[in-house]
Amino acid sequence: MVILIIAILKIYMLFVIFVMMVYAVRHNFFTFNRLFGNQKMCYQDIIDSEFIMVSIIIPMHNEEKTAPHILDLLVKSDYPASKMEIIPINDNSTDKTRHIIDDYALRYSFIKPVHRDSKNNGKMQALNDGLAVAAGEIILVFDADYLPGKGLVRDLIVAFKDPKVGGVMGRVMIINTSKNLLTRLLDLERTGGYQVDQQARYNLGLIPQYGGTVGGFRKELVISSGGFNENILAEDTELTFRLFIKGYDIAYANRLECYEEAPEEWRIRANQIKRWSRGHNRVMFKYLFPVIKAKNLNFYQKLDGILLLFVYLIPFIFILGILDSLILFFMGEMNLVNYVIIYLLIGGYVVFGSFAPFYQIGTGALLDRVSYRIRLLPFFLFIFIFNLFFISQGFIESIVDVIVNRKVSWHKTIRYRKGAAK
Amino acid sequence: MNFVILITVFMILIFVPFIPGILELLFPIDDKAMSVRMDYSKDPSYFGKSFRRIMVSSISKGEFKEGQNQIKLSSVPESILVIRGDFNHGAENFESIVLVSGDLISKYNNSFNKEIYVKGNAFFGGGGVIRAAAVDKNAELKEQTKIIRWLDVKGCITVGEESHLGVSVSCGEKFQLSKGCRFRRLFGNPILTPVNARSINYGSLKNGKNISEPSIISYSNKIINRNIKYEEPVIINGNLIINGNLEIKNEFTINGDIKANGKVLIDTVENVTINGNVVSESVISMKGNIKAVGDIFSQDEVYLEGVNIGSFNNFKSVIAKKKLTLGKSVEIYGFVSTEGIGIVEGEQ
Repeated sequence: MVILIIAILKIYMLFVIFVMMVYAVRHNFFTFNRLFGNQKMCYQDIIDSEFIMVSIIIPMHNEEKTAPHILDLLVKSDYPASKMEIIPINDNSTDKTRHIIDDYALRYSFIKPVHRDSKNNGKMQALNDGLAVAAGEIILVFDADYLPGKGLVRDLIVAFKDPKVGGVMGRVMIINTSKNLLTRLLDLERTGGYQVDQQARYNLGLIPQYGGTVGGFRKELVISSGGFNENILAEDTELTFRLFIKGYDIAYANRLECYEEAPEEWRIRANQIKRWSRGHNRVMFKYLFPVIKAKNLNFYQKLDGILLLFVYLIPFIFILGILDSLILFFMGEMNLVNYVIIYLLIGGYVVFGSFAPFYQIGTGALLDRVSYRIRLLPFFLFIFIFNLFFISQGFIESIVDVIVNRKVSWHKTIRYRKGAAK
Repeated sequence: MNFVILITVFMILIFVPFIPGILELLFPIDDKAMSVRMDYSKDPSYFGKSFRRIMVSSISKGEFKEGQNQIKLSSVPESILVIRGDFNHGAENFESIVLVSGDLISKYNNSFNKEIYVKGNAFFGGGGVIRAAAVDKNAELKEQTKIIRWLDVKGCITVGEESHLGVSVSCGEKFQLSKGCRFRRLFGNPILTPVNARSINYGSLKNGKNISEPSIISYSNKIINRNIKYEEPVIINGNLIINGNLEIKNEFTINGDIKANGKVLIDTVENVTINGNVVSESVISMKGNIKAVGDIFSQDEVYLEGVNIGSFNNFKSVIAKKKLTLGKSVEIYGFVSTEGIGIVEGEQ
């Protein structure tokens, strides 16, 4: 019996080493692509005097601090007002959000608010209500804390000139970077995630992600497949896989940048990342086999899709791996396999693999031409441990969601905005 | 005791990598949000408009007399040569900004090493170098003129052979190119290349109406996972999305967009009408008698010959990442751009 347990523990240990190696190679591969590979253009250079009708949906739950800013910026957009409607969705707000957006609607005929009074609040529910009234062929979505620039709507929409593009995604930039250590680390994390990871996936024809904000999709594609699933907290990841499986692409536009407000408290960040993990893992359960079987995806897209689906499971696997190694260590059974190759793999990962995410962030910063903020890289040790814990917690919650088929509820991220938008 | 020393050394070694970060947190020098241009709005005449705005604003602040003056365009004062009326000169090099309130006529091999603002017409005698210029009426560039940065003309532009058109050249009206011109970004209403005498007038296009016994195919965004070659007349209704190459060798009309992961090759003497956009991850080559209503976009190279794109004041774009070659009889209403080499083809 003991021998069997030790064998299982050892096999699991080898599995963890293999998984970590795969993800380290993935990080390095993307980074190398950004440094030395062929960079794919997005569509924003196209100038076309014909405009598609677009509906811009902005879910808002108690957004009195941010609502005027995003609406002020969107009405200044260079997209023709006759071809655009803005649908701010007041989702059961108890603050002044309702009055603010009604006031804007009185001033601008293309602002068409939706008020949700049902207790069933949440981003997916708000998006579904928005889709039901939207007149646009294309839907753009912004979270209420985002600050879109004058040309952003036009530059995002032009991607749909390509009939195979089902969704488009811009780049998220943090506006409150200087606030504290957390916001500074999140700023670097975004740099690695967008400047390197997303662009590399787009370059390589893999699976760049639609991120649920600063992006959009063809309305018909979502409506024809039943709208957004109100039980999945990661509607963005879910839509990404839905589009790719149908044979459509997501266009990632690295140059189309938009400010967002990052969480300024670790507690708030913990809730946010837990929610992402919970939603993302639900998508993994739902889409793993459809991705494997998809006829419209090639081998590399399937591989990238599978690795992307597992991203929020890896911390849990890693925590179990640490526990496993401790047990094996105290049992005196750390001699995993008497093959040099295993030791080389472990050594390789320790020496090079663990640097991979740092290398990716550093490369992102290099491409963004920022310099001294790289000095904060060692602090990612804390983000690593923090993410390990809360992402694992999100994974466990997603398992419970599936087992007991419980209804999920959306918890909005707190806003810190003060003063008017520039 | 040894244990305490070991622990202390260990803690110091753990702490050392954090020292630069702690310094950055305590005395931040790179903590600002990365810059996003909130007022950015795409405009092919951006350089010209921006320069005119600065010039007009600076001129309104000071009184300029005929001849050399000082102007403050940015933080540093610069020298400006002000000419009231027309300017027909024989000097070879200009090292100051030039403002001409009438027409400018420059001789062969003249160099303008600073910006020029001409309120009338401009004639550049060929072989010269122009750093950047804004012209309020028409401009003519004789052969082998070299633009370093940009040229923005409100009227028409005629460019001589073998000219280099810098980063961006834009005009509000007709933009006539000649063979051997090299470019990165162009904008015109329309942009024209030399006409091939053998080519068919676009006015005779049948727009698919008279296609003789065509096959009629309807697609509703179905993705086709193979190469396609049309050798017989065909009319397609809907978008044509192909994971492969597309070849068109006969009369062809599509009422929708074309997207191919492979090459798009159109080479026929018959009429081709594309009532939509053409997008490819690979090469797009369109040669014949082709009318495209939409944009042309390639992640690789584009070759156009005998192609009409867009219509008056209905602007469209031709974008090629690596290389864009404009052959004979090309008429583009709108924008042309490449990150690589743009060239107007010479004689075959």
